[in-house]
Amino acid sequence: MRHLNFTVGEGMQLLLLLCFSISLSLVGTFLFLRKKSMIANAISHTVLFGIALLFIGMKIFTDETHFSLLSMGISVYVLVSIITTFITIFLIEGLKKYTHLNSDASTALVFSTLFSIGAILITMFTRSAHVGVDIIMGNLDLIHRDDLITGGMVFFLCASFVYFFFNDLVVLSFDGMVTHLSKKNSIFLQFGFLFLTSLAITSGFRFVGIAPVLGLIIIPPVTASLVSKSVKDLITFSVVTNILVGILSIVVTKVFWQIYGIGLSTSGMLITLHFLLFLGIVGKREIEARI
Amino acid sequence: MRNMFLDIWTMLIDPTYSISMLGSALACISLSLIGVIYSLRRSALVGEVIAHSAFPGLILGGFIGIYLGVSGERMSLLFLLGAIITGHLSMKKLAYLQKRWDKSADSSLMMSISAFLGIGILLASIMQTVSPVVYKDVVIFLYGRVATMLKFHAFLYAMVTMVLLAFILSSHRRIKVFEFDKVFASTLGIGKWLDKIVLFITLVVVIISLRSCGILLLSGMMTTPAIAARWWVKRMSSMFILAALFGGVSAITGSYLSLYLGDADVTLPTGPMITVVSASITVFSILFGPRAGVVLCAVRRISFSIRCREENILKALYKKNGSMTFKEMKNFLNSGVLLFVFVLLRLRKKVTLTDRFSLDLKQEGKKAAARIIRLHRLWEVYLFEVGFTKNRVHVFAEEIEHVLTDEMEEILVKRLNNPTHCPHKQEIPAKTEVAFETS
Repeated sequence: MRHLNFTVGEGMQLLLLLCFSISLSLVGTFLFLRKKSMIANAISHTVLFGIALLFIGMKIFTDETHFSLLSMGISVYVLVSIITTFITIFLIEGLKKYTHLNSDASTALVFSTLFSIGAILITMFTRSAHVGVDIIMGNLDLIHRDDLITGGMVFFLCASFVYFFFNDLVVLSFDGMVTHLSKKNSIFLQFGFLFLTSLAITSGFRFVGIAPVLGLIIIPPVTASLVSKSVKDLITFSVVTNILVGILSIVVTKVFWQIYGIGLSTSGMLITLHFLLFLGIVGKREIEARI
Repeated sequence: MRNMFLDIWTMLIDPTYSISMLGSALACISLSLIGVIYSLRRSALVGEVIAHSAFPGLILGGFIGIYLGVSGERMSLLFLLGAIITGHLSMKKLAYLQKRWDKSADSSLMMSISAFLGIGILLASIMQTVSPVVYKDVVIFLYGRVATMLKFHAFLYAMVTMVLLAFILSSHRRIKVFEFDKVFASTLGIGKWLDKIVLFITLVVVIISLRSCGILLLSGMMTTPAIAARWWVKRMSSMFILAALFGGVSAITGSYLSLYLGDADVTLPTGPMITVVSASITVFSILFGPRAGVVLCAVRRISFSIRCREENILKALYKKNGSMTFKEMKNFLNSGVLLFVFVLLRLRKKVTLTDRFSLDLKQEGKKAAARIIRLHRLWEVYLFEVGFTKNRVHVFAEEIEHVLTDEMEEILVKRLNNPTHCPHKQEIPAKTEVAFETS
């Protein structure tokens, strides 16, 4: 029996993972309640458009010739992605409002168009056809020391916003009209929530990869919704499962690497475990219903 | 310009280009046909779900292929088989979440996309250590690749398109009944099987097209032509035809542009190019389409509001015995000055501007104004007869006077026994001094 050796790197990986998974499930719970989770998928495509614009901007203003996504400054990336998120959401909502398109169709139209424009621009400007596969596949296995600071900030912002505006957010999720009528801080609340959503999602793309973000934003809330009745329960359940599954995924990946020599993707493992938990709870509910 | 057409011609007869172009055109045509069905169902993101959930299936197929020791075309078939199975599972899961647990369509779609994508990434990381060659083959599917299309793939696309066309042509009526009236369809007993056949064909079409369209772009190619078609035609059959046309045109234009705009070092990615072309068609249709296109609607709205203003000015002049100074006119300036000047310019046949800065009604203007007032007062009489009180009828008539047609006027006159005065005891202009639009 060999011992599992955990390094400082893996501790950091765990902390970063926990920061993002908790903030994403906080945001994701409210997105789930408002039936707007598809935004995350749309942003995962359109973020490429923002990056393409950034490339062009850098080319014009700094005449650097070699760019890569991983060498880009974090703050610049986050700023651009948040702007892209707002563009995406306004386009989708605008199409819904001013034409008779339904939500699905306008989402599909907006994200695929922006994504394609982004892909073409990036190919034109970087002169290589293979940009973006890295961000899709997730780089939770390659993290840097400074990443933790950003992760902590995102976590702190999300947690404090949800803590202080919990009641308002609940009202917003179940009855947007009430929030709209009680003029108190409707615009601040909606924009703040939108800002945090885009912050958590886009910085999540950068640090843990697109696939885990998409998973973390929807699977824990849906799993939690099968067992809990109130919003507080929903959040508590998804935070607790996030912590447990996060630790488990890192341990399992580690075991596979050290004992069997197979390098599994931590982010893939994380989502698979979350999905298994969901299946387990669905199975339990089904059995309860049969008896 | 001539040179460019020559280029297209050489490209079409060059076997390597023509095969990939034909293949992508066929793929896009069949995707758009499927897209029409799903856009009628208001679930345009189904393509996205199937495409993402195909990812783990592709890798599972790859594992089976490695285990059996096959490669080449057989491997591709195994990829497709695996993808169809996981795609089907994912669609089942989606329906299960929506029906059994009453989750919203949005969260069920996201559940299917993200869970299968995550499993796919886990499997991909295993594949990366087991067989890097197969892993590379799978990664092609993420973005899609048109350039390396073989005759085998084009043949496959042709087969699938034929089957799809045969299906749509043979059961066109049944599809229509099923999509528009589920209850009626189930009483006819056609719902159960048709749904399964549509799902199966969708899975096959989407997954076959993955290789050239890419997982990330598939939903765009599937939905945009169908959305565009909706702004042009009303009937389902014409929607099918138009969507297929848009899909084919954007595939050929897109793959041509990606070669034409690229240079020797780098060709622009074909999939995104095709999507951009078809998205431009869609945006154009949304703006200028004859069925509720945004620009068309705006033109209609603006011209109506201008007509209302014109008629209001004429009416005011008529009530002031055909003359009004600019100062009095200020009350009607509830819009900008420019718009007011524009409206006056349009009214130049009916109104004259005197040297004392006042407006006078011409003979023609008088008749037009009399018509509006006649319609207004007739409507007031009608509302009064129906049972509205005297002081409420004016507000309603103020709006309806711009909409009433001469035909309605005739009916109103007949119904009300040709009244001469409105409920406020004001005279209704006689029919002889009124200019009707038809006369």
